[in-house]
Amino acid sequence: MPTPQMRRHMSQWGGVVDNSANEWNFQFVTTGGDLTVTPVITRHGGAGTATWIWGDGSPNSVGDAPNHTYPGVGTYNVTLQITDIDTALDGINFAGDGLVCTLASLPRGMTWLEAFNEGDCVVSGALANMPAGMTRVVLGGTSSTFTGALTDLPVGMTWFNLGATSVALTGQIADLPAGIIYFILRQTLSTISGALANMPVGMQTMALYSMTSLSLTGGAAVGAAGIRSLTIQDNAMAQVQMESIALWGYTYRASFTFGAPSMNMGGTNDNPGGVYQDASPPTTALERVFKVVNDPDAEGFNKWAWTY
Amino acid sequence: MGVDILMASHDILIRSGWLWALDRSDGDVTGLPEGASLILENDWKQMCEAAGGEKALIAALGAEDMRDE
Repeated sequence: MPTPQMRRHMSQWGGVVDNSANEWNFQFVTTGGDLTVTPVITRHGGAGTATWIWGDGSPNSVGDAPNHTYPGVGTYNVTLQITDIDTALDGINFAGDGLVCTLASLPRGMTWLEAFNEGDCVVSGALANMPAGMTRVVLGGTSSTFTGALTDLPVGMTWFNLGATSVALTGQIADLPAGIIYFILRQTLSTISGALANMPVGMQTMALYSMTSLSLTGGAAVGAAGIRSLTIQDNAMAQVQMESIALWGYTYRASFTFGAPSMNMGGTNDNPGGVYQDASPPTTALERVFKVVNDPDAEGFNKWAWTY
Repeated sequence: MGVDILMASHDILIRSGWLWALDRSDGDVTGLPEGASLILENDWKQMCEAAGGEKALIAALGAEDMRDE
């Protein structure tokens, strides 16, 4: 039988979630510019206080929204204790805090984790080790390191934002879980391919920006009629792919339901062919883009803003 | 400790009350429908300073910030 100290060690470094102890072990890393952490817990409900053991020898804090200033730059081993943590804890917002942990260590029952635009935050691990039931992971602008396949995303995931991280994911658009609304991978090492036609119904935002490899086509279906924003620039995609995507936008122009959809397909991608001008019928990519931006024939569809 | 990766180096597109970030590399062209406003990054920064910050500016414009979605 492991001692409590051994269980804590296993939980932190071995990826073993020790719910019997009703605690989660992770680290805070502090830099000279900001020594204060302000995590905020949201609960499913349930009684029991949250106790934060800060790992710097200072008195513990009690409460769901503590404020703690560390004595100096460093890496601190932290323990969060909550009675019945696996049923009480919904999620934690670590905005502005240098959270360091593994996916495998996330407490069972946690459904969301946020540390948006926090460069010192490093959440690492394989997607397959993410607890079942996670619905929202917003770690854009962090230094997190995820690996794995899109097929490993938990069922029920709705909001997955790993922008500007050292993330290496692989997969097809068709691998995305049904029901996902936001899927954002900015400046990652990922390799993704597929057709926009395979976006899950209900997708509102997909940003696949500056990937190791992105290979997209349009496809023979609208996919996500309610799409609001598509960001696929800086992926060195070929002109034929730009043509396919422009054709997709034009073909399904009457099907998009959001009033102000936006497409960004420029940067290092090849330029779409043709001249940005009105032509009936449009035969080049830029003539199709002109149609969906301007609706010169007054067809009445929702016009796009389109960067190319 | 914070960084501002998504919020930096982008022009701003405001359209129908929605605010987007547009990363327009050299040579990129943006087709804008009627009613859309494209604000260049430096202009946006000046507007933010005049308004007392970006949040105050967005609130004054009545726009919904979509940059983290």
